[in-house]
Amino acid sequence: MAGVSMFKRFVEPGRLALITFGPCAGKMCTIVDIVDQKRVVVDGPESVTGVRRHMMPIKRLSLTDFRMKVKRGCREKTLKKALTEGEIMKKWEATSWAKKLKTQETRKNMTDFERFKVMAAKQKRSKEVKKALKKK
Amino acid sequence: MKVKHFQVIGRKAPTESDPTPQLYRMQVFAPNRVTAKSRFWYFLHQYKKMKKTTGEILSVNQIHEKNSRLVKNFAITLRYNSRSGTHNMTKEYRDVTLVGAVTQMYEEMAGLHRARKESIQIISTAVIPASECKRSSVTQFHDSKLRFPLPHRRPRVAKDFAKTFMPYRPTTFAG
Repeated sequence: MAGVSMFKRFVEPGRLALITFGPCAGKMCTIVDIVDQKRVVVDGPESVTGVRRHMMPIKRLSLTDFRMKVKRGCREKTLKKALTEGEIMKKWEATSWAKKLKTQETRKNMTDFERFKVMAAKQKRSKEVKKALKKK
Repeated sequence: MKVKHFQVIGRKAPTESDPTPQLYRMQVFAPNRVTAKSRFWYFLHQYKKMKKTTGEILSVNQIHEKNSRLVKNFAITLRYNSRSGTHNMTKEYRDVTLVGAVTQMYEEMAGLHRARKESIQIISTAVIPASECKRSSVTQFHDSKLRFPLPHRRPRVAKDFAKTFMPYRPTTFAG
């Protein structure tokens, strides 16, 4: 069997994760403690991402590459400090994953006219691209 | 059915010869108040000469977990009727609430011993420190440096978008 080293993302205290299901879906959280194989305790903390400390099934989480160095069951204060010191949320915002989520969100909130404008702009862009390609 | 934690207080109905009978307080796990009262009389009449028709219930309160943000080790001592006899056992669970641990216990007893809720009596429950835990299912999580990967993940698709046949294989490796 392949060693553990082939994995980069672990269920561990301090691991930043995205919540994909339930009332907090779409929000970021940090794993704080491990209950068992299927459940963990997560914390936003609430002041940063709006997720208060509670238990959550691992099935509802998507692990990210980011990890803070915090101990198991750490306090909200420590967690917040680790988050801001490592600028974790800033680093997360810069990833293509986060950007994609952001685009999806803005697309979702568009009106019909705004969607039309996007289509028109796309048409204009592809026209220019085609023109430039033809010249060659 | 969802289990709740109740505190029931009852006594014998006061009479002229005994205007203030002894109060009895009991913690029971039941899906609702009605069942909680019923369980109270069921357990109490085994110890004291009193029953529903000659007694009264003064209060039924639901007990909520004080801190459901902290993971605890619960030890539940119970007695249950199997097909061949009565057994006692102590089980350990990790959970953030006592009700969660009791629910785990009921599910496990049903799965491992085919014992339904009616044939299980909870003798005592306790929060125990990690040093007193014995079962490996609990102690395996007592590692301050515990971590594990998620080797195979099936992407969750909303029911409206789920398809029987997909044009591509799902990504199950998330790193």
